[in-house]
Amino acid sequence: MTRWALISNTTVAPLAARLKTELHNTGQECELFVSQYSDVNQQILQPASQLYSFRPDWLVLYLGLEQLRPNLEGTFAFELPKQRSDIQDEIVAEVLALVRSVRANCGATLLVNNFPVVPRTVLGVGLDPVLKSAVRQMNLKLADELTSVPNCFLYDCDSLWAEVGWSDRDRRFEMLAQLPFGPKLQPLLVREWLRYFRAVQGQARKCVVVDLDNTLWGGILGEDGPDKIQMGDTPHGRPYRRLQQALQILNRRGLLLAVCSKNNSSDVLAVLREHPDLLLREKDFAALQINWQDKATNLCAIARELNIGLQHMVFLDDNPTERQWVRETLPEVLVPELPADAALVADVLTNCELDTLALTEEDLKRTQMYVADRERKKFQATTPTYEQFLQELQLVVQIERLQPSLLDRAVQLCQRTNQFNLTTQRYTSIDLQRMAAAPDTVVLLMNVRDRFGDYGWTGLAIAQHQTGRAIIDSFLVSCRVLGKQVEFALFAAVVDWARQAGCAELYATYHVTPKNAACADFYSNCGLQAVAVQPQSYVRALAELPAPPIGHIQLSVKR
Amino acid sequence: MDELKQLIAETLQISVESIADDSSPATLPQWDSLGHLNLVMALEQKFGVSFTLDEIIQMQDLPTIRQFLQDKKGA
Repeated sequence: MTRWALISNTTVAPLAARLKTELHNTGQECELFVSQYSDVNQQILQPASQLYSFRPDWLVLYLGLEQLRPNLEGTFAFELPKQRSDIQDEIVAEVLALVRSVRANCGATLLVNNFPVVPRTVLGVGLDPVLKSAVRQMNLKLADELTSVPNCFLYDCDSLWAEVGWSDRDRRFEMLAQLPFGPKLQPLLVREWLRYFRAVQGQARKCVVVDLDNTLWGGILGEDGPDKIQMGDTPHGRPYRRLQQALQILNRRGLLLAVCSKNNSSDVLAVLREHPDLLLREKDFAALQINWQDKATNLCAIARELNIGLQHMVFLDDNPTERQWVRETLPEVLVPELPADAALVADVLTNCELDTLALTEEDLKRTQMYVADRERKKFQATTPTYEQFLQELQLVVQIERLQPSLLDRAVQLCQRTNQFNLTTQRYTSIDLQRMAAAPDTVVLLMNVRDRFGDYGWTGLAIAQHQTGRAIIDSFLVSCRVLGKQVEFALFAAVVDWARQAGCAELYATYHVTPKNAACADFYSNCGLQAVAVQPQSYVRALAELPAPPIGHIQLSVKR
Repeated sequence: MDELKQLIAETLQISVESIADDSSPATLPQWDSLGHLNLVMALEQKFGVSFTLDEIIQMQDLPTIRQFLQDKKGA
């Protein structure tokens, strides 16, 4: 259940209803607070307003320019340049004052619109550019200023209007009820907000799985042969080339790519390694399932291999029968309809729930890490026991307190970690900064590397002390380092902090979710004793805690 | 054409039975100004027609809506 507030100086009630429905359709419920268009300032500027007592998790602002400055369209071009520039500054300052007041009064994730550029007015081609340029400048200024407001995003209303076309602006509804959004823009706006929501909630997809014949390239490799398949810089090849380019960009951004194709493995590997026209190579794919098994089975194998959930996968296949089969068998996988015209296929990827909100070091290194993992697995196969494998990995774990340069990654870990996450608190940057600054609280981050490569920042723990008791608020470890027992190193650092803080005992809880069974026994394995259910709670005197099993790890903790 | 009552019921989230042949905002509390907007959007989408601002203002009871729809479909 999330709490949403929609605050606007125009009518947004129809959008609220749509938001509720869209969330409901994905199995999520929400509580809504919708402002009357006359009381935006009251709700936002007064700390005791209904808005703040509603305590929203998400706050969407839509400020119409014509409501902020009635008749700007009719007067702006007639002002002197100095006055124009003053008006612009005033409008931006007014929006920023509202944003800052929201930020000072609540921690909700805040979405703020920019202003649509009106394509043409009665002033004509000679004078329309005056207001247009001003609106563009205000939008730039807003974008610039809002980057320094934590947990706040500027959604690009101007582009959304451009996407549906200005003719969707419904003058009838505007005159009737101050509703400027036409029937095409309404769903698009709501979906745009939900894109931010999914990304923040850790619901964004992480892996794109592609079929090969007539999807990644034109033609059928087994029939046409490597010389005849199409993906070169030719009219026949360009649609596939464009898809490959899109996948390349996503991969660079940290999305995993995988292949799921009914083909002879050796034929495909030869193409992946040598074909001159192919833009992606074997190393770009984190997993390859090339065989004659059914695709649902293969997608499950890819999910297992990469240790990600099916709800994080997108599957692209030109064959409608395969798509239908996967949709029916694995409803969690997103299987978009692909247009029959190959030229249009790459555009589908703009709408596949693949959003990320910030680019981190870990994103840039992700595929590299999965490739290193293949090497690691080969090495594991040559070591007789798992213990010996762990010993020989030469694991180095480094633990530091949260610092500004690690904030984006810390937020990302909170958003995305599902399996080894004891309490699954989806903290925002504001929450984390607040906790890191509190004298009784510590936010620890864990960096892991071994002889095969660097995993980056892959663990986070938050603990606080209250009258001699240390309480673990959050404890999570990214799935990519699971199985190395590095979680015990992070635990050891928490224990170390608790001792330094003068605590006598350690208290922790495990909150069950559908995805976090992997860590159900963690606290017992650490030597804590179960004391309650719902939530499952554990406690132990620090003096009695056994030493954690981290003999295979070289651990350094920066205090 | 009791597709129409069906659509009104769905849009205003009430039962079909509660809609009379001469229902209007005066008899259905759910048919408020927001309900009216939603209703017009739903009608336009469902029947592939478009109403003018004047028509939207006049559509204040079920017989009028029925009449407008017939006129537009006949045309």
